[in-house]
Amino acid sequence: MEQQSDMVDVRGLACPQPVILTRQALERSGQDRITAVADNETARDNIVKMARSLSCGVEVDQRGDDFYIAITKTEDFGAALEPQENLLFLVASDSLGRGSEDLGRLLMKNLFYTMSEQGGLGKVIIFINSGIKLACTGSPALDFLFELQQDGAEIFACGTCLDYFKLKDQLSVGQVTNMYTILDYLQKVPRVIYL
Amino acid sequence: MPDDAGVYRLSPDLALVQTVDFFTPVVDDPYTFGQVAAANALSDIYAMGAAPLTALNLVAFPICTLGVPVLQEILRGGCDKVAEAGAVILGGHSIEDDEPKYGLAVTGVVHPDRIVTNQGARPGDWLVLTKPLGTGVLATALKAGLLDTETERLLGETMATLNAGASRAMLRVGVSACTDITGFGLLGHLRELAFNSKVDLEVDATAVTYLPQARKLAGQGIIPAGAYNNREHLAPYVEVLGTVNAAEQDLLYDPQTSGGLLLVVDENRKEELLTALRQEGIRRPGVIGRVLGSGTGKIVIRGV
Repeated sequence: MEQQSDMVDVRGLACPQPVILTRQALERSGQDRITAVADNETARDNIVKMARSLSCGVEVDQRGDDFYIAITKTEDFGAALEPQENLLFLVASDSLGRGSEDLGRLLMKNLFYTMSEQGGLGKVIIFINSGIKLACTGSPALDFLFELQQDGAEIFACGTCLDYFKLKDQLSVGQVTNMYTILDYLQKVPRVIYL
Repeated sequence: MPDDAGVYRLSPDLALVQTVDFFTPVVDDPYTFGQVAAANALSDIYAMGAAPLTALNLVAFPICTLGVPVLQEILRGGCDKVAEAGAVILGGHSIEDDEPKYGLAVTGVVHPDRIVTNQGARPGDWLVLTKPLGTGVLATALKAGLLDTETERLLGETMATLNAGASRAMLRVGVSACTDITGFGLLGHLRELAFNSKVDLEVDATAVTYLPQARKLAGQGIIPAGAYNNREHLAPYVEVLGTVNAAEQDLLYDPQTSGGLLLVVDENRKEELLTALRQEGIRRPGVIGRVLGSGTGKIVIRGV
């Protein structure tokens, strides 16, 4: 017995209509499972990616020239649609972890690279102490910070720290801030991650 | 060997460089579309190290349904961009068509000894990219009504930016090879360059920059069919080392409209080139990889 399932037929439609219509159907459907019928590989692959990005289970069944894509909502489906709650990263060093400074700097670059993949919305990043170097000219993380900022992240660098390292004129991304603002964020944002 | 534009030597110190490109609208605003189409057509001239001289308009347009003012705006965008490049439009040709299309045939000149090809990459050289990737994904998202106005504006601005400054920097500093990134995506054009230069390349996935929203949208399956076609053609030549997430891999294959120049530069001139690019107003030139050694045109993508 097949589970009860809404069908959405996206055959004959040009990219990106198949993935858009399937997503709309998925969001609107009261069922836990919908099936999209596509007639080309681009539509199939895009629909599979969309469904996975919403934490859904996906099964593809080829029947003749058509692809039947069964999408099953999981418990995380609602959460994937909602914007994430605010998250504060307090970055107190330009190197991640202890042991090797060079390795730590590479890891820090990779951290922001990976973070920029997730998107910037809902994230606050505050640089203090030597962490401010990450937001200054020549930083390997600069491109990712730009991307995070463009995507909605708020970025701050501690003014006292910039003065201490004589880097005020080298700040390339984010705003200069002070301890009042930093403390305010630390108390206000529900989740703080110390780096 | 295939290169970005055709070259015809007129005399020992003068060669003609010719290219043509046209396509359907990638943005909604007709003036911006005109600018983008012109910047895209001129790009091949710049990639060869040539200077554009003249251009001819190519127009297909449903004049009854879309009307004259829209067409005028497209042509004004093209005309302004060609003027910005220091070239002139001599004329053109138009036909009726159900779907609008616009582009230009461009003629430039270059000293035959100063032509920059896509076959000069040498082992140890660095790869520098002058524009972020993601125009194909964002244009697809725009079609679906998924772009905010700020990102839409940035997309138009990126595609309408001439590669003139990048080309000037390249000529001033000197490079081993150059190509412009368009329909075959970054990896497609790298493959052509690597094959023609008889070398293998390495791309550092963490060094490639993308337009805002591009990675998120690619992760949600907003990927144009062209990216899948590119991936299929290139699969035999591409190897991924480490982890590169699926959305980013898709973007490396994403067909670009009026993408940046990919410059191949000697180790000793790399910093000088980056400085020259910044002086020309290119904000974030990316050192995205390296030429490994003599080879058959393979590309290694290194992740985290």
